[in-house]
Amino acid sequence: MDIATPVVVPFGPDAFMIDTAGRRTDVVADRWREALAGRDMDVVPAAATVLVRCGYQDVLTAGDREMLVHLAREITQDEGAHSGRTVTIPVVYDGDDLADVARRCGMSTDAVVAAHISAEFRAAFCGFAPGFAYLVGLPSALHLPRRDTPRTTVPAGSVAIAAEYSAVYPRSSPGGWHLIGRTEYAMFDVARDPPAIVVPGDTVRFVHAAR
Amino acid sequence: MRLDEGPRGSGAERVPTLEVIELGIATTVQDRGRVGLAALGVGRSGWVYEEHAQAANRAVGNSASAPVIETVGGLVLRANAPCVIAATGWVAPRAMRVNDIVEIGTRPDGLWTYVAVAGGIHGDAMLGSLSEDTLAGLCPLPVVAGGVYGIGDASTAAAADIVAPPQRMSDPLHVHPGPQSARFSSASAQLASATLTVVASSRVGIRLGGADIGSVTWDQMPSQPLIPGAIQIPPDGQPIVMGPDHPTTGGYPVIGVLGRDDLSDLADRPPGAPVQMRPAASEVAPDGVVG
Repeated sequence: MDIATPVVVPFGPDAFMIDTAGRRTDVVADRWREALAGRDMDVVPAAATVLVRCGYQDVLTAGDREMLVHLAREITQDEGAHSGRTVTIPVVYDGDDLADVARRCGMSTDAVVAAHISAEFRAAFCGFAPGFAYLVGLPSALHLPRRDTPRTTVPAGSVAIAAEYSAVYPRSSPGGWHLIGRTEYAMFDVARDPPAIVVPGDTVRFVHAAR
Repeated sequence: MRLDEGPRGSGAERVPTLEVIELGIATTVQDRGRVGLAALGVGRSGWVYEEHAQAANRAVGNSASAPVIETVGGLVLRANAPCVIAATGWVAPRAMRVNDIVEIGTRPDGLWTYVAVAGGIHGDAMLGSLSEDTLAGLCPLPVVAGGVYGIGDASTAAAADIVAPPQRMSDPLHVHPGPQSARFSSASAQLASATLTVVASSRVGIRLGGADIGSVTWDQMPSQPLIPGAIQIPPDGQPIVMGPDHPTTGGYPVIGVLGRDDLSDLADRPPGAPVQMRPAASEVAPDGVVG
């Protein structure tokens, strides 16, 4: 079956965005980044859209825009990233919301942990904070809306779930997700290249941390 | 840091420095910011008012992209070496001798002041930039009272005539269509008819009051990329215009987008200032569906 055509979404004079119409946004972003190599641009995937923002020294021409739409259109719905790595994150499952999540999902805490550990996640996009990757692949039994009242402080390394996503808070920040565990992993380190340990397209697995 | 301590030491290899004696609110080091990391959640950051920052740099003979000090509350500086300093909205470039002190006050006609020193502010870049990103928590070179900052060799500076930055404050601001414009019935008309005021302003964004645009209930909207100038409508219906330290993605609808010049103009207005918006000219209408 043919996949729908990407839709250009207006985003002002200095950016270009499409709705990928079901294509993986990290795959579209990768393809665009290759095509724009050497240009002064940012390519930003999100949940359903991908945006190009011009830097100070560059503009997108009409030809560029046509090329970007063409590249996106050529990607098939089930096409995955060619170079996605697998990142394994050790977790201690003792989050403050674990019991509450179990209760709301009608499961035992052990079952919640087992479901989280058995899932294969993929980093769909980043946002909220440097290195904060929205991981898709959370079993639907664990889908819960965000907390009604966000916490003013979520500790760095908190492993959390909300809606269809899981994530690790790279640093202490406010947050409204359900905390199910924690990791010692540094998710973001400016001394590394790239500074984020999980980048869009990566496969992510959680394992029990050695105590 | 006391004057008889610190990196200058007492040896012959004296590094030219500036010392911050006092500082007011929202004082950071800024340059053009970081390009290419937004997909990792690292925004561009960089100066709020590019035109003014570059005018300050030109005034002391720097390249346009040299790091400068950006401030709202002003600051007091002491020269620990001969140097040339200029600030937007202030005076012509001033030649400073050792131990000269200069007080840079708040601007009467706008929010953000840029302080450039000939040769630029020196420091170790973080992810390619000296810019402090106040939202992301990236701070390569914190500006603190008592802090001593390396500067370029002032003897190489050829002070140019000051280029007074153009005064803008020119309503109306032009709103380009945004990704969710269509979800608000005649969104731009609502923005245009509202009497808006600046409620609060920071490097992250400008909160506007006086509109009630959010009479639409939102189902779960998937997170989308953001850029500076994007006008978000949170559930309370009061617009927030993204600034340079905006989050790289966001889940609130974006009703429209301001271009760079209009965003700078808006960002420079103090809380309480009125704001008028109008739809941008029709030649920049949405592209629509691509066949």
